[in-house]
Amino acid sequence: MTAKSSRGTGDLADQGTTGTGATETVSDSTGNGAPEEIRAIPVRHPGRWIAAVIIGLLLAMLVHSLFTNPNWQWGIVKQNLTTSTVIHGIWVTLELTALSMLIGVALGAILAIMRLSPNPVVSGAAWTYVWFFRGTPVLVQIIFWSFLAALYPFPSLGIPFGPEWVTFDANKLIPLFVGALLGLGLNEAAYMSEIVRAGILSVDQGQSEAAQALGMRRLLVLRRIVLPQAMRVIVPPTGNETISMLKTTSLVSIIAVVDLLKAVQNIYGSNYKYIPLLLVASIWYLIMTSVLSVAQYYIERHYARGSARALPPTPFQRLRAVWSRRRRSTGAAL
Amino acid sequence: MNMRLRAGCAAVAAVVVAAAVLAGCGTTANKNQASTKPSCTAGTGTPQNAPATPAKVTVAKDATIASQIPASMQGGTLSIAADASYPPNEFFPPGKTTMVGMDVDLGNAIANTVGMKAKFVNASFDGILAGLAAHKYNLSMSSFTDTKARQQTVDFVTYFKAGTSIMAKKCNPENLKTATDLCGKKVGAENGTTQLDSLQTKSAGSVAQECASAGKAAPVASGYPDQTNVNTALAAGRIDAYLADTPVVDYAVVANPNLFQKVGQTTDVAPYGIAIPKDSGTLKNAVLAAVKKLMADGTYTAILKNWGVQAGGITNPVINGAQS
Repeated sequence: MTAKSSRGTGDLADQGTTGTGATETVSDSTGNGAPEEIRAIPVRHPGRWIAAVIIGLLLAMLVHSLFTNPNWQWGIVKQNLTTSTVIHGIWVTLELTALSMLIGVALGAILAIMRLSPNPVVSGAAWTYVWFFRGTPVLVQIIFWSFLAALYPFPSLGIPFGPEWVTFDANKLIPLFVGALLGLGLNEAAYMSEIVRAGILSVDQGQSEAAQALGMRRLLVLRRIVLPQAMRVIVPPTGNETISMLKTTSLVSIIAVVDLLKAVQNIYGSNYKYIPLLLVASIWYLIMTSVLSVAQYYIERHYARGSARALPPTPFQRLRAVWSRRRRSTGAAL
Repeated sequence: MNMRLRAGCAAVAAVVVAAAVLAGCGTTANKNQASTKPSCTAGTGTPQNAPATPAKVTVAKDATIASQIPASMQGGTLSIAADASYPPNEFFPPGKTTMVGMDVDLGNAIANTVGMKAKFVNASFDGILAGLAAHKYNLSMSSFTDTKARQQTVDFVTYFKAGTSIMAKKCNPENLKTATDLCGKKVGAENGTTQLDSLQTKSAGSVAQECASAGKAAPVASGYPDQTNVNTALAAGRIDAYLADTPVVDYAVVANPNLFQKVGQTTDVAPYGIAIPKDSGTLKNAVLAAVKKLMADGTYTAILKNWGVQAGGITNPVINGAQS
């Protein structure tokens, strides 16, 4: 009963469309010539105008106060912006960032691979590492590494529980800078291992199954097939971590490593000009993170090539496109 | 089979290497120091019971002095900033959450005299002057040395005097005796202190200046955010010595005789001042009057004796009494 009636309506509809509809539209377009031009009225955006006015006003107030409030003490900012101790502090900050990220990425990759290992002892060890280093504040870890000598003043090499061959002075073995580096790097490794693991897990199972079917061994599959594809997921958060690390390095000022923050602290410690000197540090941190953000944009774009069909234009390319369009239009007018 | 054997060998080798590296991590013997100085052994010495309870004094309100407090503050809370890492002047005793110390007792006594209630706020030392300028606190009692440089930012009411002492590791392995012995050595101090400034800046009488005059290398100064960190740095051997106010050095030796040793003479004796924001009206006059009253009625001496710092007592408090 139901099947019969539905077939009937279906037939009816078919007849309707093929019969009249198609011929009518054809005759219409030929009879009246070109259709009237659409007089489209753009959608009004009163909200945008209100927002622009409010934000513009606030911005003007901010800029005005930057120039008129004498408490900013821009003279002192200018005077200290390129002092030799500040420049040296910037180098230390950059060194710490680069080296601790290097430790973080290398150790993080190893930990991620260990974590995915079928060997329960190895994966358990990696899990414990991440649990510990992600579970304690990085500030505590930095203090711990720098004052390690209070715990083990003379670590040594030798047979476990047996004779010692060589004895070291912990403070010479781990100079202050290395202590800071260990604190930052080992902590970062815990976070990086989770990022790398996420990247590896994002690669389709079928990829490694196919590779195994071709007779590749586990590590070869990882190296040739999985990791290259995982990079797309790993790289963007790594750039993010690097930018975050640049600012996290300021924590080492607590153990008297003279980084950018500590350098300005040393200056305001004796001249009491807190605000302008903290501005000096902020300006430099902003410059450095801006440069890193640009670098991250291009690296992300590079690794997106595998998945996106057409890459969006870079800001530079967009600017060039606008420029050439304008030149073309002015050329036509002339 | 062959493959499994190879993996097994690698695992054993890895374990052996790892264990060899870590071996002896449990050893804490101080071989070097024991051989050079047989008369002194680091790690020995019994910690004494350093004073840690407030002085038992009762202070009544003085209506005349209380009337000098600016009208907007009268009868309210007097918020006092202090960096509680500086025993016996301001600190938290182990396991306690209430700040105690010579400054705390005096602060409470001053507040009671002017009919207010003292509230001590723990703050990092190098941020206190900025905090006062921003009126985060009404005043600060935190072992501040009254200096000309600091007077540009705040006013001081002097109430105590103290010098600077050198603290070395137990047994003085670097054989430090005077300020010039610190030249080229790693020396610590708390951020924002006159001691750190003296190590870093060449100005009349500073350690950096004395080293330069003697043709020696400048001390390698390390500034730490609080005195607790300075103590830890010395105990861990990150620094060879530190400079701090004499009462603080004395207290640390009493509490940790197995770790620390005071060396050399006390230098740079200067007044401590209660730091008060410049635009606080008659607050500084009220505080000065209160300090004078506490000195006259014996409360001041009782508090100083309670903390074992009566040597630093003064008799003539003034507003802005810096010598340098």
